[in-house]
Amino acid sequence: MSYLNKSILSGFSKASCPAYKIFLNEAKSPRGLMILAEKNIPDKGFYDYCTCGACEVNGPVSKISLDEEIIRMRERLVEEGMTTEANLKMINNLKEKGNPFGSLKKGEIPEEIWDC
Amino acid sequence: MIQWFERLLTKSGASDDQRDRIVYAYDGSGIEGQTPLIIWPKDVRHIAHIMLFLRRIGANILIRGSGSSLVGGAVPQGDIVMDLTRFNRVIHLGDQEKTITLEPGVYLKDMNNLLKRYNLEFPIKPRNYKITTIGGLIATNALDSRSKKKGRAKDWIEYIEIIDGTGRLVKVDSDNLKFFCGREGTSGIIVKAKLKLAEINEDESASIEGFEYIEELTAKAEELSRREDVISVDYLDPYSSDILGLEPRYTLITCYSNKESGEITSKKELKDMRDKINELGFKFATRDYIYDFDAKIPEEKLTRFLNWLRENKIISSGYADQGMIHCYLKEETKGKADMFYEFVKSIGGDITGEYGVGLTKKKYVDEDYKNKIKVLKEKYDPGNVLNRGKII
Repeated sequence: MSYLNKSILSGFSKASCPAYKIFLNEAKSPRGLMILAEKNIPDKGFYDYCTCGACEVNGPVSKISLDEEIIRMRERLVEEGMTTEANLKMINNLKEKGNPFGSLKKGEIPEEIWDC
Repeated sequence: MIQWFERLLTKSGASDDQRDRIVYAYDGSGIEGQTPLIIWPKDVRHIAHIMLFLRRIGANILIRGSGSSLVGGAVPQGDIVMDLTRFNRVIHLGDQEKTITLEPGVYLKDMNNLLKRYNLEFPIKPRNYKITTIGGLIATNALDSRSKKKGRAKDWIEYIEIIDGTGRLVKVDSDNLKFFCGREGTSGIIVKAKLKLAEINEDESASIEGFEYIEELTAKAEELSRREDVISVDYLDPYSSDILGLEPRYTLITCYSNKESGEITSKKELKDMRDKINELGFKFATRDYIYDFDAKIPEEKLTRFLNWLRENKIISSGYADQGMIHCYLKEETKGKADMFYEFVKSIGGDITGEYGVGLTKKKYVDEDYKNKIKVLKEKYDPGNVLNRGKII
């Protein structure tokens, strides 16, 4: 139970998690994602974690950084080709245009906005 | 089986996905269970229908709110998990009559945030206040540091409605709440609750006092608990005091219902102090004290009990005026739990404590309580569909 210390298992991190409040599914909560990270299970749900840090700021004391673990799992997802359409678009735009939303004039608002 | 649930609850209301089955196997206790399926009902008629179906096919369910139980109360053991957090409407707020009627999936913190504008609150705020649902609060008959004067969750309920193990909808008045409050979901699924509310009192203060000896502390605690203006009396042992940044002595933190009796009067300081006390268990967890045990000790035995903890080098904190004591153990010393509970029972203490029985305390439950649960099961859940394996 290396990551799953009491702080994470308590579920207190859910109290301020915006992703959990939308989905109301344990698998979208910081606790759920940390359980999956502990078991090294790649799942696209890691992309739903918005890295806002609310769980770390508002939750009780934790030994580990959730952000670091989520990012570690996302790297693994990318390595295994489990990426999202939004990710692919943004990566291609970055490569071709240097901007995740494609070619834009100064002050122009992109027609489509994605996040991962 | 999932197809039946998907037809009733839609595709988003049921899952046998591996990912969901893995995360729903845990609660706050760290015990890993297993479940074939998770369902998210949002309507009381669906729940009744589900109960009839489960009885027909011989399956059983585990009722889950936020999954914050520290005793394995929300760990499935092959059960279908019924997550009630989407069953979360506020049905009616009677701010003049000071009541609120709502579904069990509402989070207590969200409810109190809603009530603030009316200067009202549900006054029982257990240690897991930030995360507990109304259903969980009722199922565990929650208490907090102020329960000596305020009572427990049951004392603030006008009525509840439950679906029992046969699919029957039952309205439960205050005389019969004892059959469902504190029974950890073994006798019925709470589907509606009408709660009484209290006005928010902002005129509070606190004081902190350290002692060399346990006998001095318990004598003072007894004196304080008899005062009209005392709301709560928290107890910390030297290690707990040190963790909270206080002198490492036996400590009492007393809260008063006025601004005159205590030296600490700042609202922020009082709130921060309460949060720190409530989250003490997590601070211990970062120091590898990952096992949290609790029990209720008779007032006249408290001195003896605290001395026993000292002799056996068991760290503790709790509510001195209620005899509710929390203890913390590391992995290598968790074996002390057996002797802890045996000692609690030998001095007439209550092993259910604040957290209930769940899975972790099952082996310590006495025959009298087991029989009470069995009687409830016969009446409300003869097929043992609900939270099978919890408590008994």
